[in-house]
Amino acid sequence: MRRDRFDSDDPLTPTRPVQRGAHEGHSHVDRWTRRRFIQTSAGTAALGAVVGAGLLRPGAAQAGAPGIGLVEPIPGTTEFFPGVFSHVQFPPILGGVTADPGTVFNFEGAVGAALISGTCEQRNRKTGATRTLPYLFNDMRFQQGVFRGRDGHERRATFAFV
Amino acid sequence: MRQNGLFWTVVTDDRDVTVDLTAGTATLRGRNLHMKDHHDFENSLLHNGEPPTPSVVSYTVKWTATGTASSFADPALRYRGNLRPAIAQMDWTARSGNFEYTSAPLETSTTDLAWLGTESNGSYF
Repeated sequence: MRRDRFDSDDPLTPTRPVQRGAHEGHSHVDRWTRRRFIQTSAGTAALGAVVGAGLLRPGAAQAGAPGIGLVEPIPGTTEFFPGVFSHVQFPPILGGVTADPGTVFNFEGAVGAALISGTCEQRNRKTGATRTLPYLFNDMRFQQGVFRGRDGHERRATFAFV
Repeated sequence: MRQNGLFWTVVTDDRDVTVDLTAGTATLRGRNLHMKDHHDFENSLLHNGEPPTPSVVSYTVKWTATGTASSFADPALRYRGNLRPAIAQMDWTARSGNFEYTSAPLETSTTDLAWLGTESNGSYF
């Protein structure tokens, strides 16, 4: 692990604001690899939660999964943008060494959390053109165990943070 | 983020995760998940940029614990964890708009930071 990259105690401050309207001529991954991650003032990259092109987040297809509406988020938050508090942490870089690596509250079980970097090949489906791009700090996690939902009932479940 | 505040989390099939905490290993798999490509981090949280693009993604993530377990607790936030540092690697594919992406083999990816273990929070704290 490259723990030394996360040893800064500086508050997490976005230093690469989005350049809206810069879509033409750039793939999503291209823009993502250059802008998606957060940096501290010390220059240490901290969080990016991405897999694939651009910044992929659960969409409508997952919204109806059984029980998701009953799940409580962890109370701990990170203020990525002023006044916007997200219920996510990552020990020790977001929330300190005692931060919860999970996102589901009222939970007991196994947890895995990882920030992973590597490279990928992008292929334009129209032209067939390819190129190799980096991906950085993909944030991937799971929780598997039991949770108590808003209705007070305990259920077994597996959660993926993608 | 969902209306209830849950951050980038989905319910997945139990079979998508295999964990052996004694061995210190775990695997997370996702296949053909329909996602929204929000293009960048700010837009994913603030929704102040381009509309998201429908996308499909598959991935495999593997954890292998590398060190001894340490206990962590935050009574104020009602969290307790017993975590081991780990190596984590992944491979993935995605399709978004006109582009397809295929990662290099899992073995070539590098761990920036990873944990594997158990936790109890909230009513289980």
